Amino acid sequence: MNAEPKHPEHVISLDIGSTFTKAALFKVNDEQLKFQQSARAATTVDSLIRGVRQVVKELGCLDSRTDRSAYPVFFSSSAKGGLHVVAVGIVPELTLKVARLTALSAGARVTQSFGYKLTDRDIREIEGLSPDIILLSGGTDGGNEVYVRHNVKLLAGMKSRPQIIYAGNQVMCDEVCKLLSDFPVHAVSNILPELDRPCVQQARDKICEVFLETIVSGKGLGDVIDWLGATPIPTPLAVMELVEAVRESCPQWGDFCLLDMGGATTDFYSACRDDRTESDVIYRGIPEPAIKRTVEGDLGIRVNASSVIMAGSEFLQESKSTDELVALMDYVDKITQRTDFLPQTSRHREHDRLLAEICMTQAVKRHAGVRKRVFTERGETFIQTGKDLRPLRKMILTGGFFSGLTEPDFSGQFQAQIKAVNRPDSDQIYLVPRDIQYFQDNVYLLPLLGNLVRGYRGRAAQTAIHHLTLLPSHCHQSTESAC
Amino acid sequence: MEFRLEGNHKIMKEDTVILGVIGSDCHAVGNKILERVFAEAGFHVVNLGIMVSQQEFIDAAIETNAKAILISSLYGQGELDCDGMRSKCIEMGLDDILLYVGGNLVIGKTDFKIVEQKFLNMGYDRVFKPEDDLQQAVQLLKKDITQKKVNALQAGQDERRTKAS
Repeated sequence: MNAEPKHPEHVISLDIGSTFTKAALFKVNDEQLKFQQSARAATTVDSLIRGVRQVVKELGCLDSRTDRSAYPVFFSSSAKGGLHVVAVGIVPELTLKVARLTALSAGARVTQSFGYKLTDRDIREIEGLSPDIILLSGGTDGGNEVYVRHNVKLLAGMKSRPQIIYAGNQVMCDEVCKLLSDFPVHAVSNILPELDRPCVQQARDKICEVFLETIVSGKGLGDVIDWLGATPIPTPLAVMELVEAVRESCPQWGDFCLLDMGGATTDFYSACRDDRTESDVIYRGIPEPAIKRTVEGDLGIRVNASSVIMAGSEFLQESKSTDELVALMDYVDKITQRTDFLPQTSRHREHDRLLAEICMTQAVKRHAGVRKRVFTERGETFIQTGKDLRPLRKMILTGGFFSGLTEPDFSGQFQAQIKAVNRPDSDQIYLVPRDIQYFQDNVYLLPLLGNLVRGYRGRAAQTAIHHLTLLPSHCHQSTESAC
Repeated sequence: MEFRLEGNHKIMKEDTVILGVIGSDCHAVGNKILERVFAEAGFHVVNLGIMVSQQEFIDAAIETNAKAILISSLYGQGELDCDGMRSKCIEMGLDDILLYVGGNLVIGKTDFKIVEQKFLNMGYDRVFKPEDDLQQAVQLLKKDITQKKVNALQAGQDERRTKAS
């Protein structure tokens, strides 16, 4: 693990992404990490070390005597697709849901998830997906054994040997380990020991540990680890850890959420408790974690632009003319073929903005809980599933699109779209944030600060907050003028 | 898990039962009383509370390996809410689960015998009226669970014999 170095003057954070290897140099002082400069190079997939060496050199931090970095380095990687997890559980709304949330909170990509009993066909599909880890859950403690036994027996017949983490019914633990004795299998405590009490920490830590100890070498990171003298974490875990650190170290900042939008996916993190305290609301489903991450694999403003159009079709049909739609579709065709396309004209920027707004709205809507209005003999009542995001007042926006954002009233437009999620005549209310302030990560520094949480927890959090820019909006302006 | 003796019936410590009030019914008091009575009698009670759907009862029973689902209905819509539960259980692999139902199951003063028969026909194992003694219900549940276990053991033995021959 990365230990905090003794009185270093500078520290480097580095991220090996699928397209770019990025790095930033920070000066360390008692309160903050002062951003000095950043560098970027194309990720050299055949030999990752070349790109890494180049960015360190570009930062001017290559020690000519040792030919290594002159300063300590913390790094993350999502090269070669990041960390792939297949989740297996029983009931989709119960153990399978918790298994997915656990994998996501460890910074993984959940490539597929399987509920109830696995079939031979599922096993072939898993073999085809060749995941890094299979997270196997099912049953509360002392609960279901039949499905677990069935699933384990089928998994035991697989030709490949992925890492398996068992986090299900503890009564089955020995039997599972015995049946899977030919596999690298790790048993941890149950992610759902009782129906109303998810308990994911051990499984989450184990995923990170397995990633470090076994998977990174398969991703060509062995050389990089040797050269830097440090071990990596999955890139999304860096952001997750930053969100945790901000919540813990900057309590005055209050509850918040963070949206990380890329070309292929949109990640959304909420940092607020799943309070279930209103007396006239009936709460359903598993209590959700205070820091929750969801990943929308179909929402991204380049690779997945066409599925963004699908997701936002209702909104587009209502608000855009046929000519506007045709122009938008042409643009989408262009950018999905050339995913490194950067907008050239104001029209292009307009299209990008529209795609971004849809990604954001859909990601927030899918993350948020839902209330349904029902009428009972006690009168009007609500049934709530999922987390209520309405008390949130702050949203951090990060990702390539937001770092280049110059639009003066972007947040106002988005605010209008998010409000439109709830229709006045509907019996279903999405618990999306309202009256929110938007903070822009305009140098795209947050994932890099996330890496530094493991060495400088409080300082990384303070620096992240300090460096955000508040986006102007109608709502905010009116508050200011009122003052 | 250990076995212990209770009355005439040998029950497994902490057999799980799922408890809840079905449909749009929000009578919460009786639900709390039932939870306490069955927990004190040695069951591990998973109480889903009020306004529980059939699917929620079944999901909880699958994950917890419950031996029985205990359904209450007080607001007269019981027949509508409870119909189809048995077939859904079979469909979801809970072939052997005990289904109990009790409360004001229909509107109006219908002879309880008729009501009971109606719910037995729907596939429920036992039907209770509001004034039934809860301790008696506890004893019946213990007896029924034991019987299910005996049946399962016998089925296992039969299977082994068939294989051996």
